[in-house]
Amino acid sequence: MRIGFRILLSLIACSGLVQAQANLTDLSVALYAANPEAPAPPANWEVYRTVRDKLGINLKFTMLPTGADGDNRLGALAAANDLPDLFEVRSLALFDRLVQQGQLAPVNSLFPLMPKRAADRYGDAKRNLLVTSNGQIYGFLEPVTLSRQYGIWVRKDWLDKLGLKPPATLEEFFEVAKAFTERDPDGNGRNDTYGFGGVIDFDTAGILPGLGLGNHFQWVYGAYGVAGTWNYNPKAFAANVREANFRKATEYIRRLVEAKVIDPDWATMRRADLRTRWQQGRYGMFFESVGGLQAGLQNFHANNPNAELLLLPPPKGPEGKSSMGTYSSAGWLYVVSKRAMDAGKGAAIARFLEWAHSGEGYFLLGWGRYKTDYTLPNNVPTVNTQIPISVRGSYTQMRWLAFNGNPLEMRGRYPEISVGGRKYVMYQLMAQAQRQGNWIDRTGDLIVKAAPNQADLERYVSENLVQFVLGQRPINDSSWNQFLSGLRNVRFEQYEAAAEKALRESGYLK
Amino acid sequence: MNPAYPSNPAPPQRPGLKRLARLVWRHRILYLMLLPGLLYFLIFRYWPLWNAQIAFRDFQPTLGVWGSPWVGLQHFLEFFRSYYFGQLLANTLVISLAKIALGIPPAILLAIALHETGRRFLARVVQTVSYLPHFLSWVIVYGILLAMLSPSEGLVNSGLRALGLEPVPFLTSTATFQPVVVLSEVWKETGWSAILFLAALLSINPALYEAAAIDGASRWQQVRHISLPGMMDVLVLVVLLKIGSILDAGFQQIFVLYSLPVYSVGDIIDTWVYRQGIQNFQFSLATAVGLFKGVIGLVLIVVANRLARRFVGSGLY
Repeated sequence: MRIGFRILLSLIACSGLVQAQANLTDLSVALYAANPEAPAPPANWEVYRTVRDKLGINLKFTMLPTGADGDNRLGALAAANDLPDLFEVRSLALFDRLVQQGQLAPVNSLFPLMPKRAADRYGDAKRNLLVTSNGQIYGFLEPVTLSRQYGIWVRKDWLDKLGLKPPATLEEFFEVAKAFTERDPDGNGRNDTYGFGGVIDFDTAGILPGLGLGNHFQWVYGAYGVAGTWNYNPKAFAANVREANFRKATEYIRRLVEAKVIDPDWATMRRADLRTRWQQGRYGMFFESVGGLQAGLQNFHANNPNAELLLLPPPKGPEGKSSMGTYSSAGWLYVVSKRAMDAGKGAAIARFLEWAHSGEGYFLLGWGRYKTDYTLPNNVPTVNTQIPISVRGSYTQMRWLAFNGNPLEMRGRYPEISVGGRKYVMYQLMAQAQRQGNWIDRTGDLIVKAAPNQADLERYVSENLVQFVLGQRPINDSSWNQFLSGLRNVRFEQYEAAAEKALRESGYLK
Repeated sequence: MNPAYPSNPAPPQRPGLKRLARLVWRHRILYLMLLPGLLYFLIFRYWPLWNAQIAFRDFQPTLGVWGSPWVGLQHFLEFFRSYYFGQLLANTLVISLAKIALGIPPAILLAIALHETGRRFLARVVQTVSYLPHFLSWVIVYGILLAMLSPSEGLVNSGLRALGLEPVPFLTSTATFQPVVVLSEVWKETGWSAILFLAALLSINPALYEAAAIDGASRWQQVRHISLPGMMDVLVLVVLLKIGSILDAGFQQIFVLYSLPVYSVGDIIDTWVYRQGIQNFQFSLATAVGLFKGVIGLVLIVVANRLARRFVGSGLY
């Protein structure tokens, strides 16, 4: 009798467990690594348990490698018709293709299911327009939490040593760069320093690169009033490359190259090489983000004990114009696969995103383990730097789903730090970079679809410009006109026309 | 007495299926050993050919390979009409041919040198050291090349500066990029390629060398008249295989080494496909180019094989 009772109890317990398992929704989420230097979260991650117990979701998280590798992996999954349920897209070309191919689901119906998140993040109709097709919104386009964080940093200790002032104009920039290159500012008796360090970089994190030499040289084009890809002139819309000042800016960069004040490896170096070299103390001025600076300060001061850095306002051009570059007010983009929506996972996705937006979910995803990875003195999330990022980072690999860019968050992410006897208030430097950069909002660029021959088109412009600045081609009326007329060969006019049409229809060009 | 002939002679045995089955059964162990290889080719080489039809379709993953609409030769034409098509083809062929022309002789020389040396220990050490670079990834080789050739801090340019000469931007100059690509490939692969030639040399009957030595042949004459002819079959094999993949100029290497200033001499078919086909998610286009390369490779290998059989007397098949 007793045995029979036990069996009955066990059966009831088992059926309850089976019932609970049956109520769980499997949800695969793929996001780009928030901390590429750290591994994926461990199997016993608290988030998995909490989400299962409280939201009824069996979460499966896949980390995508940052950069083109991650884009390519998503592309391969798309080709196999095996996309995750909820995933991040950073390549707009991929996004467009997935919408065209019907692999993404409209998410309009999910907004009412996550009222707080939708109200705080997805209420901007103009931003939503960037991911709208046939009247349907095909993704959660976040407001930008971090942008315009780049700038030109100058070695103030070198300026002082050589009796120079921080450069305010392009001409002064040239003179200071020359002095940093030729007058042995580090005093080691060797000719081993350069005036400026920058690379050809098309990273879109926080700023938009213009067609051509990428975002490390946009400040030169900004000084001539031609930063970014398009001129946004409603009466004579065209690509900036056609503007007369575009040539002048290119000539200025060539001057820097010919005077050998830029590291001669600049055209082949990657961002990582640039970072290594400024940390070694090779450059008097360099282009870097506040985040990149924060990560490299320890090394920098170890190599350059008496160094001091200043953030320069963008140098002014001959007509008094200046801009560090262009940016977009759109942040990360998360999308839902049609397969997931068809399988009835929409509600679970909304539940999960709403949970990640605030409270427990926000802190677990954004900051990791309380009292282990972070504490909350005065409500400011304060990261425990005693735990290396390679460990701490794995618990915050999904942090972009949570972060919203509020001031306390920014203070937590960019805190006050002391390195090499100097104090850096990183959140203030961030605000300074955003404020003084004269950044130009070019969110509309994101609505322009890639041309069918985008690779040829980009190659044509960038290759010609780099040949001009490296001196492989002369810059004169004949060669420049030849370059401009050659745009026809890569069907640039069609690209411009399509861009104008998209910008006018969306209202970004009025 | 006449032999008793049967009134209805039995039909002659069909030599085909039954005999084949008997043969297969007799050599069943050999066929069993062949099976994994056959399966590999069926699954990884022939089955994908079925999917290669997406080169002629506008591939839509949701519709599958079979359901995607036909577009005919559109993707091939897109490739041929690319502004850079001529340049891509020229760069690919120049780099590929240079790698064959400059890569094979050092491998043969190294194999002969290793074969000729009387010091076995030295030969083993040299052989091991020479094929080690084969195992380095191109990213590491790029690091080595940058340390050697960088205009600002490279070893070679430091030497040039010490001599009062101007540094040379080896990796960003259109004049030096292709030589860097070819020579770095030769450096990386010579030791590995020499293994085949060395194997061919080791298969030559030593009696030939002994007889030649008794006849008074010098070492050079032995190399000239015994070693080189003895390697001819392997040489033909290697050249034919390389010709078959002539449109593969080394994607990984060039992708790591090239940069905007040298696109005009460094951009090859595969790097273009990566940018236009893969990064823009045009898989049908990428497949079309892959098919094009495969067909060209097949034609070249058939023609080269015929030429080899006619003029050298040996070929692949």
